[in-house]
Amino acid sequence: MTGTRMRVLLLHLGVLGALFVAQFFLGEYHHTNVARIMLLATYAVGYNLLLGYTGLMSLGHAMFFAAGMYGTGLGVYYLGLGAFSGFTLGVLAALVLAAVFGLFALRTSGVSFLIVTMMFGQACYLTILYFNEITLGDQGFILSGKLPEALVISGVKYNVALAVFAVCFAVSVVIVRSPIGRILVAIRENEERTRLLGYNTYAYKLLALVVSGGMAGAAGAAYALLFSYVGASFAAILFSIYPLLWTLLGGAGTTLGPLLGTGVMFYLVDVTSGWTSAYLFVVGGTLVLLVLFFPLGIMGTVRARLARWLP
Amino acid sequence: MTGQAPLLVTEGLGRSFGGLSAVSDVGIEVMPGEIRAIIGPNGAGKTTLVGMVCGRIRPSRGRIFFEGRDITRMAPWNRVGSGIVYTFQITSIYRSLSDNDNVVLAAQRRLMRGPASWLRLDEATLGVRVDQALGTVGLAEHRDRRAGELPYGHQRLLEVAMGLALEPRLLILDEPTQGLSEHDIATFCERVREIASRATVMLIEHNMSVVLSLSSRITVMDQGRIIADGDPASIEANPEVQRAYLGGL
Repeated sequence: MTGTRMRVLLLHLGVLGALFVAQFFLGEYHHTNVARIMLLATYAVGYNLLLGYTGLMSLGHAMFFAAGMYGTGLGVYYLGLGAFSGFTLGVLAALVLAAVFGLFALRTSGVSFLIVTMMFGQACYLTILYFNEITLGDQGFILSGKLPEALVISGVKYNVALAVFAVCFAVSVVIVRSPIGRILVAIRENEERTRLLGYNTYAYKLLALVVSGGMAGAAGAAYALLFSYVGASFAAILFSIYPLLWTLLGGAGTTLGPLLGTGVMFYLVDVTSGWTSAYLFVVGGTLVLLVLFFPLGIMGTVRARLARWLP
Repeated sequence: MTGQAPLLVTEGLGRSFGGLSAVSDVGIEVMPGEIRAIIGPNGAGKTTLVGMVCGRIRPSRGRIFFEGRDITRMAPWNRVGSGIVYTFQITSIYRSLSDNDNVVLAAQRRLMRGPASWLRLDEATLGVRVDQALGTVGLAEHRDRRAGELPYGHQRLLEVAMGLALEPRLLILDEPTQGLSEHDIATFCERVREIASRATVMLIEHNMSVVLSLSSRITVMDQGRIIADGDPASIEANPEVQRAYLGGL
């Protein structure tokens, strides 16, 4: 088992190392893209903890991303917070929202849970629009001029995004390989059995939801800081569907899947939108093929066929 | 009894589903170290009764005491903590996980104490306990196989191994020999005897030869009530039992 442990450690450190080194080789355009991908992948890593490992499908995760984004954005815009305290406020907002939401929503499961998350997510979106005097609704607001100059430098952007991603990624790997991770998988596989093995499944699901929401919030908070824009579109239902697609594409229930899925999807859209205005058609087609032929996603297929030891 | 306190006591325990009463006014006492069989025709309320003991089902009436403590309202996961372990009538295992991981999940429940253990456990102790549990039921050489791929009889044994890894004080086996071959049944009986040297066993069972060879005391249920309770010999001789149950076989 120690051999596996070493391999897992090296692989994940290697991925983070490669992301760090990549910044010295990427051109300006891809440099910004990869920074963006790392933040969106952070969002997907959190989503995957809930969907891939705990077996809970959410269609309202944009509310946690938006809680992070607005917590930070409003804090900086109205209260004049600095980048770091703004970020902290954003993450806290997402954690609190996830905890309160979870206390109610986790009384349901399966399809009812899906619907409750979707309705709550929509309620949050509409709340942002309703208070448009403060949030500036659909149009949103920009933070440039209110943040430290350094955040405009693309090298800083890249490394801040990498740091946020690295922390969440490491947390997810540690959780997945811990006794708690085992219990989360057990809940996904057979919740009643898990309860009668003596685990308070409600508490573990709540924990997974709070961690997942916190990561979405960290992604949203950093996104507001690095790309300097806060808008309601990040709370809309489409933005709840994205992490689901990224996770499924990369492989739900694999530690590397979310990063890979986010990256592949991002560049799929990027490249095809250069060819045709109907790029969403290409994206949709790819997803249909994926679901039909690779239901486990990229990393899920790799694990099943090549490397059973992958976490 | 020689002044020994009972391990499990139920008082006036009842449960209705809608207007239908599945169990009514059941009072039993199980002494430590017993193998207590609960028998009765299908629908007699046996599974509902043990369901209330392990916490799967909430009683409508009555109270349950375990080691003198009222556990009527205790959450099922806390009952496992105090030593009440249930194995399902319909095999309930993690089919896509290996045998080893199935038992690890049970064994780690006993080792998790406090937040530090959430992220890290004593892997050596965990391994020993898993080996013991798998060894006791004779599944040690199948530990890396996916549980869902095992033959049915082995899946039942795996479920017993999970129960053992939880270090039960009261192990409830719900129709454990259902679907097993004659040979597997014989091995299984030996295992239960071994287990009974460490834990009290409640056994719901239809196979009368298993019941008569294993149990130290038998409770007979019919239509949600207890109709007889005693040692195997007196139960076999009881005319009411013969009419309700034994004669029907």
